[in-house]
Amino acid sequence: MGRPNLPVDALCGVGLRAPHYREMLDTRPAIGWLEVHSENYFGDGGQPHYFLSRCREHYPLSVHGVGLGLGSVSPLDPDHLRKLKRVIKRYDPFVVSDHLCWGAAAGRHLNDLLPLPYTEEALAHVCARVTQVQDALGRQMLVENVSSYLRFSHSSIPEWEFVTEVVRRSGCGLLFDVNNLYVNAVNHDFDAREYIAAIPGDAVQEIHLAGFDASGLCLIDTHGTPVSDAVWDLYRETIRSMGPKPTLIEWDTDLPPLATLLEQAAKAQHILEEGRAQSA
Amino acid sequence: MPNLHDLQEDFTQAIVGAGNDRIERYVLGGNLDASTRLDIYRNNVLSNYRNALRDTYPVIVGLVGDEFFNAAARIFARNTPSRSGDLHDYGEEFGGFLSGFAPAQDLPYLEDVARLEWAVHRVFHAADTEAFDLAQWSRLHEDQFSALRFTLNPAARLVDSAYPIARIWQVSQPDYVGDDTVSLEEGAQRVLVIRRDYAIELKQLSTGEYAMLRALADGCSLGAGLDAALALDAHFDVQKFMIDIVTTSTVIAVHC
Repeated sequence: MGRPNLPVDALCGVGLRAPHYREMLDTRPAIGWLEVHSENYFGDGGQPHYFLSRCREHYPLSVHGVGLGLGSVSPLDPDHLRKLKRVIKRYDPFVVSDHLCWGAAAGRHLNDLLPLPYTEEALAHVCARVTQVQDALGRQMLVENVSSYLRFSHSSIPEWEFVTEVVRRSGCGLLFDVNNLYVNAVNHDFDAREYIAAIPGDAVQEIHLAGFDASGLCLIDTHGTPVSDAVWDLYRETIRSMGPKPTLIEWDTDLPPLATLLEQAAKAQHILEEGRAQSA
Repeated sequence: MPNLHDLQEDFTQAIVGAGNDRIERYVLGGNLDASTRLDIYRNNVLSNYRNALRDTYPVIVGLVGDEFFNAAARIFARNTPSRSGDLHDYGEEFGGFLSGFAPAQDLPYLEDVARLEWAVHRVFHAADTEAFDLAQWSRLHEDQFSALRFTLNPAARLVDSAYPIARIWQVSQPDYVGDDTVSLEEGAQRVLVIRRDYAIELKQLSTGEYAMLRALADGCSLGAGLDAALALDAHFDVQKFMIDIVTTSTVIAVHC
């Protein structure tokens, strides 16, 4: 097996998680690239770095953070940034990303992806913070749209305009999570297709696909189930509209066998191939 | 309308149950009311902390069971703020918390098992190192010995307890085969946690060995370490011990 010989733009990747380390190395499945959470490699050494170094020899890598807090008013943690820089230096990823959210206040971290009010004040704050991180890293970063379960009454800007403005003002790229879009469109009753048409496709450098939990009164982004049919439809629409983009199958809770991830990846790869044929 | 700073402070206080629900005024309701929407975040935040603790303390989970552990984790998380955006840094105080946790009073060894698991967690992620340079050792003269200082392997930690914590840890491992009963009568254990070839090893030390290695790890000279060891064990064999910790790279460098 091994990597298909295509540009990374036209390839699907999967998350590299510890229970799959050995199988990934031994079988080297035909996927385009791997994704890791940067914080899982903030340690100085040991087994995580051993396996990631070996895997990196065979696959391009996307480094995705959950803890930077781009929207937090409390200052950026210099130690967090230093460790992120170290991971980037060590593994030379093709993209580095974190979320369009906040995560810490009042001297404590909530270690979750918390929703911002979509206001001019928040927009200015996030743009300054993204610029600060990009300057510190010496490279462009991607920001990801997050799932949310509430809206603030004083939000004055639609989410898609907020996202678009962050890209325009800070020069960052977009990590477009189609599952998060769907979850928010259902939870907050807006038209997902209008969102896809509104955001700048050229800035999208990675796409996330994942599953959600629909057992409650609100869709919850769990990364613990297969991608839903509705999200596959929106993904096809996204690829038709923006062309092929590196696409990740995200699965973090109740991690299934690697084969299940690869099946989902193959399905996304098929849609990417259609998009490639169409845009050729 | 709150500014961004106040909104995040109020939101945080609502999530951690600090008795400030001002944030609800700024949350749109709709088919779910504001408080129910905030509950989703309360639940997510708690489960993130709980999962981090479960990952770091699997032996404690096995000893007390899911229900007990999750209840303890909920109270711990409410009282112990996270200080890092990296959840691997969360939970060092969990052992201390368990020692004061009323439902755990019949399990006095839990605190020390938790301290051992935290040491294992840190050793797992610690730096890789080169082996001790034995040529450096052979160049030393005997009259230098008592002033020598050593650098402990970064992937090594010491934990001591009045309980047989190494044995409790070992019989709790998923791949352990054999008799898994542990008698507290086995008594105190002093443990070196060290990583070799990416595997965690627990090595039991004698009182003298523990005192000496503890002293060396704290930056004391070999002479001071030996005094500490001899105070506890008049028959302590320093030569054998030094050869052991050098050849196994328990220490990785010597400083004259």
